[in-house]
This record gives sequence, C-alpha cells and structure tokens, in this order.
Amino acid sequence: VAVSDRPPRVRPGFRRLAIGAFIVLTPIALHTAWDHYEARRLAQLVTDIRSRNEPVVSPLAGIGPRSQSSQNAARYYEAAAALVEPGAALYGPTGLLHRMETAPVADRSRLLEELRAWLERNREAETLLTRATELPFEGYLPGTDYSFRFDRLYRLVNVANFRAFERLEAGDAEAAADAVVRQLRIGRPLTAGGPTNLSILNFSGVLSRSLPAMGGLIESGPSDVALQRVQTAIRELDNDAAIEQSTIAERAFWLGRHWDDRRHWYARQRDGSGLEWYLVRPYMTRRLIATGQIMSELIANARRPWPERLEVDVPPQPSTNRVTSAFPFLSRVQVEYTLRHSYRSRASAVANSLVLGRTADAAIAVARYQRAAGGALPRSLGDLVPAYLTAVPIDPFTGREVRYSRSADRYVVYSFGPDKKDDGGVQVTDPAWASGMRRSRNPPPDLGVSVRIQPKRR
Amino acid sequence: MFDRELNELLRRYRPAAPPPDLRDRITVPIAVRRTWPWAVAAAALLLAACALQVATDRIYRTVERAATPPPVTTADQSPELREALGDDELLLIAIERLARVEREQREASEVSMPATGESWQ
Repeated sequence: VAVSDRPPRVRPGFRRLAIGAFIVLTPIALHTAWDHYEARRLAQLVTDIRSRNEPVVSPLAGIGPRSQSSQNAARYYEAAAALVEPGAALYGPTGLLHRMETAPVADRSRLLEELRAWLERNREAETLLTRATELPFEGYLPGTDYSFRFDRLYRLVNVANFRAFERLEAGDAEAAADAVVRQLRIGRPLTAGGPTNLSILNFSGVLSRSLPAMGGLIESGPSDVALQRVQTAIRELDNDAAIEQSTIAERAFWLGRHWDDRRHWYARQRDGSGLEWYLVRPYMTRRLIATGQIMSELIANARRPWPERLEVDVPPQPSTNRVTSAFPFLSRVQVEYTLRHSYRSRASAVANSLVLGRTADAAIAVARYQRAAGGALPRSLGDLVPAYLTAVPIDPFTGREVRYSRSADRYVVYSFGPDKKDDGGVQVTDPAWASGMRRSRNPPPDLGVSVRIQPKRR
Repeated sequence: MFDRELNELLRRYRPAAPPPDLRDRITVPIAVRRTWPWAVAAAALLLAACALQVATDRIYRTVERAATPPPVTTADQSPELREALGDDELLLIAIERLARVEREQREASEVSMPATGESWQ
C-alpha cells in the first residue's frame, strides 16, 4: 500500500495558530465589512443631501450671515440685549414676566406700575432697540453666539412687548404700534440662520405675544402710516416654506449632533479610537441613516400643499428606560416617534404663527380700507387687493383663504384653527388673553383678530 | 491439507488488493492537514479587514468633515464688539455691561448649549 511517508510540512502548533487566527478574524472581517457598508450608505445619504444644495450642518451652529457693517442692525441688537436688566426681576417664579401672565386682572394697575419702573430701568436698551429696528439686519457680528441669539434677544422681545402693552394702556396708539414693529422685527435676527426647531418655537412665542393684542391696537386708532409699518413688519416674517426649511435644518442638526455631541460616551470614544466605538459604530451609523431617511420623508411631507403638510402619522410613544432612551440606542420606533412628534409640534407652531400674522395683516388692511372709505367695511377680503393686501392670505389649517365676517359691532378675520372647524370666528382669542400679555394655555376655537367697528378714539 | 488447498481457502477470504478507498483514507488527510490554506485565508481576512477599515475610516472622516458644525463662540465677545460697535456712548455702556456679564458667566460656570426644544420664554 502506498502511504505518504513524507513528514508534515509545518509544525502542528503553527497550523493551530493559523486556524485560530482564521476563526478570530472571520467575525472581525465581517463586522468591518458591515461597518464599511453602512459608512458607504451614510456617505451616499450625505452626498444626496448636498447634491440638492441642502445643508448637512445645523444652522444652529453657524448662525447665518455675518457682517461688520456700521449700518447693520446686529450691532445695536447686540448692545441693546446686553443692556437689558437680567435676572430675577424679569424671569423666575416671582419675576415680572411670570406675574404678568398669571396674576388676576385686579392686580393690573399695580403690575403696570412695576412694568413702568422696569421699562424705565431699561430705557437705554430700548433706545438701542429702536435704532436697530430702523436699520437693515445684514448678519451677525463675528463672535456673537448661540446664547445671544436665543436668550438675550428674547429679553429684547420682552422690552418691546412690555412697551406696547404699557403704551396701549396709556392710550398712545402710535407709540404702541411702533413698539409692536420693534417686537416683530426682532424676528429678523431670531430667524437669520433660517428657521430651526428652536427659532420657530421662540419666534412663535414672539408672535403669540404681539399679535393677539392686534385687535386692541387697531381699535386704539394708530395712523395709517403706523398701521402700514406694522403690516410691513408682519409680511417680512411670513415664510410659507418654514416647515420645510426647519425640517431640513433639523435633519442637519441630527447629522451634526452625531459627530459633535460630547455629552455621549460614544462621541468621546470616537476621539480615542476605543474598542466600544469600533464595535457600535455600524449600528450607530445604521440608526443615523434611518434618522436621515425619516427626516427626508418628513421634508417631502412638508412640501405638500396646505393643510396636508400639517398631517403626519405619529406612532404611540414607546416605553423607554435609561439605556434605550440614549441616542444612538433608540430603537427605530423611538426614533420615528421622536422625529415625527417634533415635526408635528414644529408644523403646528409654524401654522399658528402664520395664521396670527396673516389674519393680523388682513385685519389691518380692513381697518385701513374702512378709514379710507369713510367707515364702510369691505364686502370681502378680495376688495382689499391690491391696495391694502398683496393677496388674500391663505389659512394654513384649511388651505383656503382666511375667513372674514362682520356684524353690527365688529369684524373678524380668522382661521379655522387647529381643529379645522368653522366656529364662526366668535371666539378668536382666549378670554385670559384679553390684555395681550398672557399666553394662551388652551387654543381658542378659531384663531384671528376681532376688531370693534366703532373704535373709541383716545 | 495440502498447501494448494490452503492457498485456495485463503484466496476465498483474503482480498486480492487493498480496498479502493484505502489510498484516499491514508493520503488525502495528509493533504487536508496542510497549513497554508488556513494561513492564507487568515492573512487574506486580515488584509481585507485592514483595507476595509482604512477605507471606512476615510469615508467617515470625509462625512465628518462635511457634517461637523463649526465651533461655537460662547464668551469673550467684548474685544471684537468694541471694535465693531464703535464709539457711541450707549454702545460703550453696553460693551462694559456685556464684558461684565461674560466675566461673571465664565467665573460661574461654563456656558453650555441647551438641548433642542428648550425655550427661554
């Protein structure tokens, strides 16, 4: 029998080592291949986004254009915001802001005195704010930051808002209208980097403070020029594409956060090329891609006509624990819930802001028509185009023109509101909102502006 | 019993030749036990893993460069502002106030970015 009598070519130990290496390297190679596959998908996602000229870096970080021009409003906004008295006098549970929103009407006069004292202490800031209002906003000063944009600017909103309220109480319609313009124009720096989740929520707050009082402002009888200025300031802020733009910004925020958020261990691991980072990276990337895909669906949704763009399916809130609620360990369902819920809130805030602005614009147009026509009201909003309105505004909640109704003692320009039902414009503001200072806790049945036909001239 | 008869009897029970698969049973395992295919496979896996890792890192670096936000300035704006704002009296007051606020902020704590959705209202 022919049997090979040659000795083995290598030692058995080396053979065992080779087999062991093969066994160990196989899962590593498979994991690396998975990592590579997900990286290529992520790169494709980023390429697709950039090919559409959409951002992959959140505008929250790069706060829009910058300019050092001496005629740039930013320098005055910056300085005015720095001069506003910070701290407990305004904010906090005993602060003026909180008490104005919650105190009973009986305390109105006492609060008004406090308000006047506060405004007096902030007169310098108000002077600079007035200068800023008159100048074009060309961009932020170099070095100005995130906290300036959303914290200090909001103090300025309070200055203008308090002044508008105080002047209305004093019967000075012209100055009240000017204060409303100052307040509205702070929207320019607030939204300079494009609409984002945060700027929309903050700016929605600005509008919800200034515009519900528009009926009172119109009734107080400011001049036609003053009303025109308010109209111009409102139209400057009307952005029909705000939901789409903010959703694009939100997607960029999530993409940027993946790389930049140092609050999470994986972001710190990334710098040290740690083993954990290597192990979880493909999973995280997969989750990030899913996030990008969901956001792209939502962006497509935001491009639909009104009111379809407001409609989004939000899955029931999934239960979470400390581990699973930490990005990137969110399950697909949790990611879906978070992003879709955020979209719905944002869309709702945009729609509310647009409604407040558009109904206020139309109500002012009616007032100006009435004044020019010797007291006669227009039969429809179409009569106001083009002299007082560029077009009849569209109600985001219905996709149709905003409603206009008149009775013996008042006229109302209104939207059906979030419930999309025509309640006749009988109640367009929360009763607790009568002063224009309080924020509504419960939305009224319809949204808009109600104006008494025989305003009492002061 | 004669030798011839004995041989005849043995021939009935003794195989005339080794079974056909005997050679395979003896020689093939020696071929299978060769080390080099394992070593080559392990080396190929190692090379593939390294190459993929390098390529993957390159992709991630490219994506990261595209998607990383620029650093956010959070404090000490006063020198630039002083230059940018000019010599308006009110603006100078504002600069002083701003510088003081920023100094206090730096001393108190590091300014941190709020999470999405937080509001300062």
